[in-house]
Amino acid sequence: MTAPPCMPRNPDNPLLRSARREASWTVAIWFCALVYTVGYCAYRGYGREFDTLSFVFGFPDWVFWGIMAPWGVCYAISALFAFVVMQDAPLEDDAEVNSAAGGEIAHD
Amino acid sequence: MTDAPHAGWGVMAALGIMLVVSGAVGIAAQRAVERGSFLKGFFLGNRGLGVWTMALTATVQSGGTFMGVPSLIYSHGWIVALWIGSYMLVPLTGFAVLGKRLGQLSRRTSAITIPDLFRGRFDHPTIGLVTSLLIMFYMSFMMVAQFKAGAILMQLSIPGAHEMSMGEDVQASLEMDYYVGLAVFAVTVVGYTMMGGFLASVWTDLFQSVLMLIGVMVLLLLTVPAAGGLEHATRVAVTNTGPAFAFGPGYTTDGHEFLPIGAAVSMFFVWIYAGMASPASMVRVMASKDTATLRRSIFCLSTYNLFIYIPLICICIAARSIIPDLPPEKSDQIIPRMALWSTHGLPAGSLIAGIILSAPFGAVMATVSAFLIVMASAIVRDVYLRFINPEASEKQIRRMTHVSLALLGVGGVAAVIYPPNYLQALIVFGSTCGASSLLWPAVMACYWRRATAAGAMAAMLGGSATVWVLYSIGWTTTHAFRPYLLWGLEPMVYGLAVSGVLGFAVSLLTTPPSEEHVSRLFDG
Repeated sequence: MTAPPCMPRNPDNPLLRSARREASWTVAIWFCALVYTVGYCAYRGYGREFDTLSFVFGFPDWVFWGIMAPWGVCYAISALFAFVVMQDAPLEDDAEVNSAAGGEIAHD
Repeated sequence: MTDAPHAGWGVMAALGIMLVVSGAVGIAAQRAVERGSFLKGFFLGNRGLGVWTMALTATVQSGGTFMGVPSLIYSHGWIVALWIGSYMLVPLTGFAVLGKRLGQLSRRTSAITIPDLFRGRFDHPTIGLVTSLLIMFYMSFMMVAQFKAGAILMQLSIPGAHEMSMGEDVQASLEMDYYVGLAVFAVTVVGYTMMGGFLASVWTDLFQSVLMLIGVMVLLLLTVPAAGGLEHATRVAVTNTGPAFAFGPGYTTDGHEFLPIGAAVSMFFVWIYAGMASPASMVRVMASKDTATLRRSIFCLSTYNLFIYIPLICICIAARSIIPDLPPEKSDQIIPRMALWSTHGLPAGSLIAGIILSAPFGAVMATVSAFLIVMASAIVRDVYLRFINPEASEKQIRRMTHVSLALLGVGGVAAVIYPPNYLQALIVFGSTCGASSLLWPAVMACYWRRATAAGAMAAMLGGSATVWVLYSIGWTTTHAFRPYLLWGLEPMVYGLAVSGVLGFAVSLLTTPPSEEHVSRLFDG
């Protein structure tokens, strides 16, 4: 529904609120992944002697615990995000606010 | 050096089938486009993308995924896993940060393109023009590189291709193969994009994504056991090349560190934000059918990436022990070479090799097609219809679209007739500038009511200028197309920082946007 131009619209836009919250969580997850992955790999994957290297499922130990394991965790978090955390909301119809688009062209 | 078998007719047949299917998809998409209005159908697929088309096409896989990345893994070893490690979060960040709001805003402003969206959101025509020009300029760098990659892949698939034999006496024939490959590639991609527009691009992209997955899986099953497993392959590679193959930072042939810690941190910015702010990705998110599609796409693409990138790492580590002595300048051929090597002697081996080779070829075609659509939409929607012929009929728009696509194709071919150097650097430059210019304006457009057109423009130009300055310093000091890495960090980190600060500061210093306008776009 489009509100008449003279009436104030409802400031409570559920999609905007949920999108902002989800974006904040996503950036926080990205930052944690960056700190752990780069931190662990810098600590265990740089400047070592080959004799000290062990293998986990064929991967060098620092690759497995520093990249493969967090990749698995991020996969699980992404699934959780997609099916539990993110909320659905209507994206609304086209052309609701044509006049707001500053000289909208009537070709679409 | 280890000899590799030549491409056989099966390779040519598999790629030929892929080209024919791509053409057929273009025709089918053309019929779908004609059901609705031309502009929204051709450039946005009538906003009807479902989960599979959204997840497997709004991605950042390109020729680099199957040529550049394998070349790096082959050359530098396990440290490249950290270099591309941030792909673990690309699906989540790509859809969850901007996806829902871009979908909503594009509908509320009736936007079909990113410049359209910025113009509508910030209520200012100049920002649309600036965005169009920036997108066209930066995407042209990336498109040129993909044209060259496509031509090379097509060249390698020609039966008995001379490139594999490395002989000096076959230069003329080699050049002819390259031009034939370039012509076939350009005609096919421009052709199906011209027929079906956005839908042709995403449908063929979907088909090619499935081929990529099959190709990678087949190659994984053939190469890792042949190398005696990952641990054995690593030990052999370390014996052949030295212990640096198993650890960071890795070293280039001229002795520089490949991935110092600062660069590793930077790559977590580069892949995440380049993907998020890529115009091709943002447009596809705008075309999402609904928010459920965006949600499910996160899971679908996460699964897909898991089965593409980790197997690619394993394949290339194994390749280093199987083909240990590929010269550095030929290392980007490691996947085609492994495809031919691992299927040699198998029943229908040439055909299987063709299916594997269709993975990088499909990735390149899909990328070029997406770039063509975004650039043509910028020309037609944001320049032609806004400034040249606002009253154009649908027939005129259709003709202008086809002319734009043809000219872009001709331009792409002309740019790589004499293949330019620094291709990988040009791709990185283009995507770095794109993200540094577009990310903050997009975030401000989606989430900040107080953002102004001047602020968004300052963010765009400031981010861009920062990257330019760092590349200019790099060019001056090294005489090569390399950025200056201030404190070891990639230019994108600084570009984003400057863009963000300028966007916020200039917005706060300029007149706030009209509350009525903002309310229409932000309130329920």
